Amino acid sequence: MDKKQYERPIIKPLNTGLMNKFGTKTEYTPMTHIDGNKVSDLLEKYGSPLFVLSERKIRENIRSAKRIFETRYPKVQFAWSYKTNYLNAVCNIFHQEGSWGEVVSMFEYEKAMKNGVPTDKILFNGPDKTDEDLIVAINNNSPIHIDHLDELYRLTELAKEMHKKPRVAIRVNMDTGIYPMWDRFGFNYENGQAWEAINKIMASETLDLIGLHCHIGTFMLMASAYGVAASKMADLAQGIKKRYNKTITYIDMGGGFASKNTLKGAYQPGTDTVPEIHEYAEAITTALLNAGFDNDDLPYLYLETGRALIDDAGFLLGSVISNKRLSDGRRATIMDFGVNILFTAFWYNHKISPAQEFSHHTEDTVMYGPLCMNIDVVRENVTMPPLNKGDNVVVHYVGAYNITQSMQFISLRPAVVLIDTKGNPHIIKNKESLEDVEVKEVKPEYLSTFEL
Amino acid sequence: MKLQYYIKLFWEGFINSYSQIFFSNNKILAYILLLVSFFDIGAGLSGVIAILIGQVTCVLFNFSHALLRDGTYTYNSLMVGLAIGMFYDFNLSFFILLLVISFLTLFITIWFSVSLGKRGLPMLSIPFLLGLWIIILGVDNFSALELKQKEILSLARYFPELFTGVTDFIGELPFANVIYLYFRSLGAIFFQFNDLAGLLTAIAILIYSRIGFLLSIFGFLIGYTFYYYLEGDFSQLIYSYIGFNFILTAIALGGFFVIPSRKSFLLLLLTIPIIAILISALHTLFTQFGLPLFSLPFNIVVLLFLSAMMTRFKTAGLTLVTLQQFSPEKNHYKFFNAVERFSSDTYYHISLPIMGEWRISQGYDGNITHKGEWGQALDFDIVNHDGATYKLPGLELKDYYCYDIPVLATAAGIVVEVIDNIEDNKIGDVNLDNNWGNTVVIKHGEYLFSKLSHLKINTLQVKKGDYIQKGKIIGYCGSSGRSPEPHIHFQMQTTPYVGSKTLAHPISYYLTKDKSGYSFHEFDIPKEGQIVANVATTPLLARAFHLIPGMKLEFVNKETGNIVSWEVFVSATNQTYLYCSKTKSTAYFVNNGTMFYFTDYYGSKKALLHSFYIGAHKVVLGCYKDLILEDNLLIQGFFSPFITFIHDFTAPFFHYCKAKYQFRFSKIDNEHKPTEIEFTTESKGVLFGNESNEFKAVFNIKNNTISTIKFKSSKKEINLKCKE
Repeated sequence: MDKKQYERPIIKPLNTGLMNKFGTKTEYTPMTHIDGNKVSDLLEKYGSPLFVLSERKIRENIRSAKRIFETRYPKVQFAWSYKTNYLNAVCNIFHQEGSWGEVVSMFEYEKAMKNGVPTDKILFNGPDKTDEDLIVAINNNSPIHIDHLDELYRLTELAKEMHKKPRVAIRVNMDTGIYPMWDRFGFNYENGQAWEAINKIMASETLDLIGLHCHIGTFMLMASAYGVAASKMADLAQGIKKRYNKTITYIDMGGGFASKNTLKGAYQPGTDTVPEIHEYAEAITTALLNAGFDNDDLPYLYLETGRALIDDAGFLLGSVISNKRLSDGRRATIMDFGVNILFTAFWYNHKISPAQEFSHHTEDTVMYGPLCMNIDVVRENVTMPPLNKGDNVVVHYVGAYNITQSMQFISLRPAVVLIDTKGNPHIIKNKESLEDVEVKEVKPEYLSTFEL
Repeated sequence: MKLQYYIKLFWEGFINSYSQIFFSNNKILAYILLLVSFFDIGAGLSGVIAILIGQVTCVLFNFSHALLRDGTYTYNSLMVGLAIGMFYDFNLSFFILLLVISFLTLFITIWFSVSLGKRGLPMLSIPFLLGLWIIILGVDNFSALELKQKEILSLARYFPELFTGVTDFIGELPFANVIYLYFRSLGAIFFQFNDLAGLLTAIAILIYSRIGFLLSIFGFLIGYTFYYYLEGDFSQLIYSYIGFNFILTAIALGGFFVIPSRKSFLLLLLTIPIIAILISALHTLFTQFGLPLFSLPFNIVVLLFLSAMMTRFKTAGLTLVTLQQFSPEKNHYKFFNAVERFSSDTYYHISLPIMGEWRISQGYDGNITHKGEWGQALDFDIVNHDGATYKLPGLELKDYYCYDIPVLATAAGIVVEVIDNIEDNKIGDVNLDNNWGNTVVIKHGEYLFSKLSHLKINTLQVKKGDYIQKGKIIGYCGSSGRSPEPHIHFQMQTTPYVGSKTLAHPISYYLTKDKSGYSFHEFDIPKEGQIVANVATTPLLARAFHLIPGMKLEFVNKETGNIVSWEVFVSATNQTYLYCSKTKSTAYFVNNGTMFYFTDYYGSKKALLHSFYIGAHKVVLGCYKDLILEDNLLIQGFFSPFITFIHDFTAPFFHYCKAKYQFRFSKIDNEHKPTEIEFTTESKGVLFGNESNEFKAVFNIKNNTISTIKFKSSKKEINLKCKE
């Protein structure tokens, strides 16, 4: 029998709250293992804090998303959104599952190329593409998603100079009844900009319009908005067919499917309110199938879903540095991970579970990171059991954006471990060291010495 | 021009009249028989004249030139001419008689060809029998006709050594008396009474058909053995020269009107003894009138048997030849190749009622509900990569992967029944009162309906009377009726009712997926547990092989600059074919939207159209990167002529030579909208693991057409380029 854990005594005011017959729910269930690996073992082996990704979950996510779309629509292609998580190991899991690559910069483009994605299967998005980027993409026959007229003009010029016919799509933005409307990217549907761009492309005869792209927002909580978007995209595609007798190959519905995270300010937890992927699928495929395409003209449906496919496969493991009591009596716990590596803490109320058993007593706690900065708050208010120094916690739904957006600030970035489908952990990114941070630094000679 | 036409018509009809006697259009056979007929110059001449009289009559009376050309109208006249030329001396009255009787035989021929032809039966040599009997019965009255006294015009008179030499040579062989009997029986077909004629005829048959030769010996030996054991009167066999009845019947029923096979040989074991008994019985009867039997027993038995076979409702086992190839070999190889390749082509094309990949949760005669008369049905559901049908906890309908997923029409048709108001069950519950649940029945043709059941309440997209296309969403998967968890039930049936019993019916084309990838299935029934998906076609490929009548496929030979041109036609029976006017070759093909394949080829094997026929033997019109398609080819051309010759002897019993065809995509430039597709096919003969005569073809498809073709064999390489 294990030695019973010591729990410090707590004094809590009794809040009756609303009456119900189940009592107050203590939110946490301890998460002691991830895919068969004990959390404390992982931390001991790879250091704390630590990002852990579950390959089993990733594959399950992409397979189930594919199944959900492919059983509703005959032509579906997923493209992995590199910016969501571009660890090579992660990207290659998606590529092994048949996903193409979707990149928004030359850096990501090169990463995808290096991973071995055939260049005609790398969708090149984003508003910032330099001439050099465009030339590379043109030479590689990659689909280029045009964001603005200046890019369109430049592409036309380059195509003429290079005597090539780049394959392009235009990014379209539109009103889908969602606030805020994302109109900063691409050409607007309602005010005719989209048609203007299409007309220019068709008139130029130097660009090959192969697709239409949209991305109506991020963390979309209304699946029906996608139905509206898909109808408008189908309308454009059919308009192009009618006006120019040109069949476009694909409609790229972008991403934006929400994960199970809870947005700050949300009344109910994300697990209860976020639409499931099949709801997005239903909205999109119904709109496309009902749009009245001829059989041969039915466009491929491209999807650049990132977050919804990886968020719940990522965990951040950390340890308690210290406990303290704030001036107003609230409990504060300082963790060894802060907002520099848990970037999404700015907009999510992350679910955090203790990694060891506790009694049912809980206490409202402010969870801080280790940074010597006031903004370093992981959770402003979370109900946790009385954690001791050295206890471990698991932060859920951190697979998307955290690893790509985390930064070396005050403390270094942790290692990333991937647990394969058989339960074996693999280190896929080593913990950062001082050398890593300084590797690009250059110190002028006259600043190399000093005396104090 | 006109004269040329008639010379050609007469010549072909003339020469075919000889080979037709052995159910053939083989020229070598014809020349040898022509030679044999002239062993008695009088008879030979009389035969030639009889044919000519028949032919002139045909042309003057405007009878079918086609039947004239293939010798059908005149082979009976030929035999009558040969017979009376053999029996009577030449003089003016003989020629008058020959003219009249040839004329009469032609009309008898036409009458029988029509009256029997209507019932799909051959007239065989009935016109000859009637014609000759009329002469024999009536000739006594005409004293001007003289029976031949001496065989003045017989070759045997001038080259006796030739004939006795053969006879002596056979005399040295073991079983000489049996061999004599066999050769004389063969010779007797042409009213020849010598062994040389028999020997030559036997060689001619061997050249024409190994199976035919084997059959002739087989049939003869059965007859002989039957007589031997029943201690029959051999004199009938010897002196009446009617042993050829065995031989002709054996070839007719063993390989010409029936597909040669083990079964056709077994059939002869029963039918040849009937001939023997008939010969005895009819001989007794016909001698009363002084009439020889000739080929009467053969005619009776073959017609009796064929007309009985025509009435069958199921054509299993023995199969009658439907498209006559005039050669037992061709009948055999083409039939068995067709069985391997298109045995299911007559089925209505039914696709799977799904999009994406589903699992067959219960197959035909499954042990859950597909039982008895309701056994031939398929249940579908969706599983994840672990084989589970639901995500945890699986207590609600929406946890099930297939719930609320579109269900499609499997073929075009009219909606005849719709039920859309039965609540979906809770998980585990079944509704036995309305056990089919929400259901759509679609009529595809007379007595052919499909039914989809257990759909979700209030989701049906069709109503009674709607005409819907294949692939239309008819509703969404639910769990209504006798359905403890969401799934769809699909069955074919012959009646329009919701509770109708099932009809076993294959799915035309589908893919199954396992760890090694996709496999292609044609006209097959999915098995329980298989993961299945429909085959999607690629417009580029479909358009390139969409060959419409009047269209010309024209290619330039890159090396020689020669132009090949193949034109697309449709035959009177709605079969599409490519025709090369330069080489007079024809290749029949089918394009059913999912597959393009060749069914048959006529013409020179050297023609480029033949290379195209082999190279694009079977093409799937949907791009699947790793898909490999296999098919069987006719073995001719994939082995040395000698090996094929030897193989023919055993072909009815077993095949040890095989010709294999393999198809795969070698290049797809863009998976989603290919602008260039290349596929490579390999054909080769396989004999005991050794490969021979490998033939490779590479087709490049661009701009909705076949852009280049490369044919490569061990001997040469030909590159064709689409003519601009």
